[in-house]
Amino acid sequence: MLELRIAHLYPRELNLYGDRGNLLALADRVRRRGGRVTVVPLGPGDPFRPAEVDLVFIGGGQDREQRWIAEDLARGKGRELVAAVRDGMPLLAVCGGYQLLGRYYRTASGEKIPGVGLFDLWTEAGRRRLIGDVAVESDLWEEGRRTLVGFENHAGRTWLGPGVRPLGRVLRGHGNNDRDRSEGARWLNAVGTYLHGALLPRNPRLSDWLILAAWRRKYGTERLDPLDDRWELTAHAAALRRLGLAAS
Amino acid sequence: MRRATERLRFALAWRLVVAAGRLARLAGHGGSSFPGLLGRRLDPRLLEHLAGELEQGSAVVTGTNGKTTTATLLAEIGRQAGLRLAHNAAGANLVGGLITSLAGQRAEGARQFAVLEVDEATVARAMPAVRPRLIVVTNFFRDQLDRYGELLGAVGRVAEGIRAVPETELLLNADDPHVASLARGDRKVRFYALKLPPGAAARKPTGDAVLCPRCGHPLAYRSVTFAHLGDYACSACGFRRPAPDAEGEVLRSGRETALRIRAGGRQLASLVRFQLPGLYNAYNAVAAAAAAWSLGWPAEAAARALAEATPAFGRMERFVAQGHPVRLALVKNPAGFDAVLETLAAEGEPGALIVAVNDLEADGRDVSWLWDVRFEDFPELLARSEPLVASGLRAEDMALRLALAGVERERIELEADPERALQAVLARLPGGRAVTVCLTYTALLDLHRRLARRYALPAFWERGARRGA
Ligand SMILES: [Zn+2]
Repeated sequence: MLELRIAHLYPRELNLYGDRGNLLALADRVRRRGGRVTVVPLGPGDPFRPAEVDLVFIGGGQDREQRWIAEDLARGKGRELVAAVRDGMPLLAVCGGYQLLGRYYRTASGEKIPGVGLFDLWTEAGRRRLIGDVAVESDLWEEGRRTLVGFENHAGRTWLGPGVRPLGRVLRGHGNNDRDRSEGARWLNAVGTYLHGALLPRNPRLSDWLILAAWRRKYGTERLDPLDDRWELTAHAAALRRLGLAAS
Repeated sequence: MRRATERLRFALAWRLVVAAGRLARLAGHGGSSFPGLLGRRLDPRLLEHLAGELEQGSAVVTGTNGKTTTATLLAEIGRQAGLRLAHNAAGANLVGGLITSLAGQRAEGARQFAVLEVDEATVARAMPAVRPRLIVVTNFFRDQLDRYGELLGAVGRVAEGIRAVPETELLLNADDPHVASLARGDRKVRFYALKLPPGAAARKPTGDAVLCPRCGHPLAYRSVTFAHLGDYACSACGFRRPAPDAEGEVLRSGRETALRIRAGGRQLASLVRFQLPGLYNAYNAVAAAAAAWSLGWPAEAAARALAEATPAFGRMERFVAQGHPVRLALVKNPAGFDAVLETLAAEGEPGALIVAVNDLEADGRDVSWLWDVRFEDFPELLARSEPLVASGLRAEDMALRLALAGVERERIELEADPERALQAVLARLPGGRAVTVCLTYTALLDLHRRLARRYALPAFWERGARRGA
């Protein structure tokens, strides 16, 4: 039986903005393909064992939680995450988790929270929160560009270094820093983004990209069977429509 | 002289609000803010004057969940105790609404006391004017995050309001770490809490308040009543659940709740049985009874008022349409929505279920919270609800939410307009079957307005005044 084992990092501490929806979406797509999902919650102090998981998910949180988590990541877990991603493990990091995987996060009070440096990027708090619906055009797929939709709510402005590519180009909304039209970051099979809403339910192609990356590595899977995605695509199209864009 | 002009301006502004309120009511407008804001333009200190006129002062209830039910119960206890009191109805909890309610009900003779439900974000602005005798804080849940920035923003705003009125006593929910952390050494503070029967305590906390509000270290829970509420302690700084001054012991919880309430070392009510379901309502009852005790009201009034409480009291509205019992339930955050689902599941026969989600400013622009509602935990309820309709401005997201909760994709129906969804369901539902409509704030207000005439529903803001008559 096909299996997807998801390491969910800091589910108690980083769980803002309906992150749970991302796990529900992955689980639903694996189950509908006859597979089984195991979610391994990893809290502070729990060891990360790359041999026991196929995919990593880390969600969003507030500044207070981030400080606490940064300390835990600095105790070796961060280094192991980087090694696993370099080895091809797929990873999805949203909002606060995305910021923590960069080089650093400078809070509004000037404090510099060190990140694990998995993504070549850094984040500095801005004065105004960037809030609202977002549409992004991404070239994550070999078949061509696709839209991603979500909701963003972040004070941080994230700047990408040469070691990462953006996840996509902002069509509507603010993205990484409200300046350069980039949104999110991608390195190997790791994706970081400000989009929640939740992100994966309304972006089934991104869910499948992550699942395929995990199963290609684990089972040599070449492609996934298509699913009945009527509600996923209806919600995706509605989000584009609200932003004045045509469905893709 | 100056005093005389001030009194004249107050009298004029008050009459203006009363008149504008009557006009708005005649015109069928549900909005309750406008008359109050109009009056404030004539007398900028109108709220302060109205509150200052109350013979025995006022009590304010704030927090994320349960403030409407708690305030309504407290007002009912006050009326049972013989007070002629004013009470703002659901939704009128911003500055304009407070003024409209106080002015309108003052005209009807409610001049002794006021029970005011106040929005968390409005507490800081309203407290210096209201200067209540007591502030009750129920809980802090993640609610409308994009409106308040972050959870800590809401806590900070309530703390700011408390700091502004050093003579006001506090009644805090000891079981919520963020609420308990509002205690200050400069005044009288009382705590209330809930005690579960032994064996019911082995739950895990869910959601927001896992970190110590004092030092940021994770809290350890000895027991959990509901979400992140329970008996907690911080091993780093010693912050822990304060010993409660008032405690409700839950003897039975389900469709009906049985409680024993103790306060100040003696029995306040030996057995309170009331028709509001769920532990969250047990909290509301204990908060109201403890507030009445803090205010020095007689214990019998609390027992009587709690026993007479009905679901219509809180945020479910019932009426009959084309022979079908219809219920409207406000849903605005995961904990509240879970509570509604729990109630429906406990009742057994769900009938039709319509869920209407809007994302306007007052609902919160971010609908991510839908993914934290535990629809997955109620598979039988969802399987037996027929039909199952997703509605509102975010109908498509709601439909997807139901699909990922395991509802068969063919069974989910989409109708963006809640009234059309309801009429379509009523037209084809077998006789007598019930309809439940769960709606976010603006969807509820809109549907209520559109149904009010057809089914002779009272306007929201009329309810408090009517009961007072
Ligand atoms: Zn502490």
